[in-house]
Amino acid sequence: MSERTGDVVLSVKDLHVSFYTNRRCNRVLRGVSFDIRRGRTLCIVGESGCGKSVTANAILRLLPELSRIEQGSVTYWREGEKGIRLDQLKKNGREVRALRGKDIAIIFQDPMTALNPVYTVGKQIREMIRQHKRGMRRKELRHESVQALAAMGIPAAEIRDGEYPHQFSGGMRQRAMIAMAMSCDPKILLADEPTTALDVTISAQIFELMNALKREHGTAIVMITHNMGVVAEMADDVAVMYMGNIVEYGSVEEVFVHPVHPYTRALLRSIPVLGKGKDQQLEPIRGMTPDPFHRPKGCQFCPRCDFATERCEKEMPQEEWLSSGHYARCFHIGEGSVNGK
Amino acid sequence: MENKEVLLRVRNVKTYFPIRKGVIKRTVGYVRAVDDISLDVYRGETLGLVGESGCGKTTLGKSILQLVPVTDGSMEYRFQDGWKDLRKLSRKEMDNARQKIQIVFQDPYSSLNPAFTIYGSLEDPLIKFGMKNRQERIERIARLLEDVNLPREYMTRYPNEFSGGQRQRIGIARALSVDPELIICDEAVSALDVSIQAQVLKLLNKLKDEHGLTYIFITHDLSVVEYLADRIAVMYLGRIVELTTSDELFGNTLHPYTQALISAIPVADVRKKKKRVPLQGDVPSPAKPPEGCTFHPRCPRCTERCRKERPELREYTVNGISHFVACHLAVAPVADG
Repeated sequence: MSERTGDVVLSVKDLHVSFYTNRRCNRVLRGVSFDIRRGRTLCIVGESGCGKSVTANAILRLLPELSRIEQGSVTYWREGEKGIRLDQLKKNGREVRALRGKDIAIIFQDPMTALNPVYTVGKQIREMIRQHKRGMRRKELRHESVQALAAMGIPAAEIRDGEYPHQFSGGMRQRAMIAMAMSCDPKILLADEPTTALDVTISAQIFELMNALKREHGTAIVMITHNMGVVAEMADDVAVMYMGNIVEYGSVEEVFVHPVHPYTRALLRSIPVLGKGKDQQLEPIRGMTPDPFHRPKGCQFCPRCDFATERCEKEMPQEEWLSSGHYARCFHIGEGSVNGK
Repeated sequence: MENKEVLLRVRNVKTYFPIRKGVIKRTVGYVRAVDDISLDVYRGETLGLVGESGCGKTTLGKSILQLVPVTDGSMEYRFQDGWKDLRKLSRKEMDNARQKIQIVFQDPYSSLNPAFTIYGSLEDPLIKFGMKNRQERIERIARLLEDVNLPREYMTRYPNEFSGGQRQRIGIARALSVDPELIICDEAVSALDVSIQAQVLKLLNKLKDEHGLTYIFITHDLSVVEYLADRIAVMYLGRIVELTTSDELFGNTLHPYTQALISAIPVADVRKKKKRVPLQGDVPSPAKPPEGCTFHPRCPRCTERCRKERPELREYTVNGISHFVACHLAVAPVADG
């Protein structure tokens, strides 16, 4: 087991996850590695089906029944303690449940389905607090849940605490979800597309809130998104995923200003950027993401890549480090214009 | 822009949905989805219609096609034989008018019938508008598919065999099949992955040039609309708050809502860190819009007058470009230089 370095709170090493359906096996994650650091935001970005949500769910052992962590490790470090191997804990066992919510919390994409419609919002927050902080009086508990809501900028938190999810607007619900996630002061917050269902002005409010949490509590945030704009705004570090691999990882400046992987570069060229006007040249990525049951043999991006050679068809490139915090999985790093755009 | 020909003239259109309550379903109020909208659509332009969810942009699109009952106002369309109000057409006439005006829906999964092959889905409009010969139809559909960069063999397949991007292109092919003049694209790229979005956006631009189309492009994504649109109308709570050319809107934003909207958009460029204009609170319910300016409870520059008096959409001319804005605080800006 590797040692903890610096302010790393969670490290994922060479994680492989497979889903089994109808005697077919979908190797969803094929060797994902990254570190989550205290007080930093890691954005995992990719298109639908690339395995970004699976990564978050694998960390919390929330994967569906017919799936398995095949290989690799997920290690969580508490302050001054030995690392806890999350991947070796019993699924839904006592240890993992003690960690969920208390140390590592998650916010899901759709706040309406994540909240239970038949309980008040306050009760659902208190349920979480009661689970992790035993022996609190009812009054104290209620005070805590109202405080949690108020801290997320919900006006009239006293009243809102006793209301049901349907009485909340979309933005308010997502705030309530974050309030619940933050109620036990977790070290890591996993946010799975937290603002995809919300309007831009509302998601801007949620982003401000998450940045404040990071500043004030030193929470490590993992944000899963498909929107490059969100990444540029929120991330300290970026992991670009494609078909179950992180194809490029680095600080947000490195990935946006000097992207090296052909996929990252193509992705950045294919999106319209606000402020560039009508004359910007969009270059779509040709083809489409392959069917997960008929994957290319070698590099997953190979059929759509302009630099692909015979070697790419046969072999999956390994992580190649360009500097201490920047790697890419590609045989052709340095070919073409390295300066990206 | 001035010497362009007006294709569609929308005047004071209102679409209200009744709220019914109680046993006898008494109407207790109205959701003012589209509340007094006037605009012109010029031939050959792309008009972007942006706003947050619930602002009535989709309802406006559907109102133009008479897919929802319109409460009030007129929508005059320039047909070959002169101007006609779409609202006053009989059902049969409206069916024929739909040959000129087509729509592409947001969700490529629910807008194609899963029981029909692509040929079956695309054939119906052709039969309706008089293509009786089957061989002719096959030929036409093959050409349409090639227009949207799909191989002609795909016409025998079913929708479940296609990805979201391909389905959206089939939806576009279907809209094109009757040679329309105006296509309303309702969030046509919102459901697609980013790498596929670019393919569809480029395709839309290509088709516009080849077929001389006019688009009304409805979206919530300002980056997309900036890339595509010639003019942009920003909607808030059923009303247009700002309407001008794309360059003017981004270069000289007058309405505080548009300013906040632009500043809230995450930009995929780390070198550009900009200042946010944070907006407080949520969009009010369109059933109970606030008095005065509908934006005033969230407006950072709200004054006493905004609370009481509703601002009208007024035209200003900046550097020879007409700029409509509905705000008391917008003073006629002095031309540069």
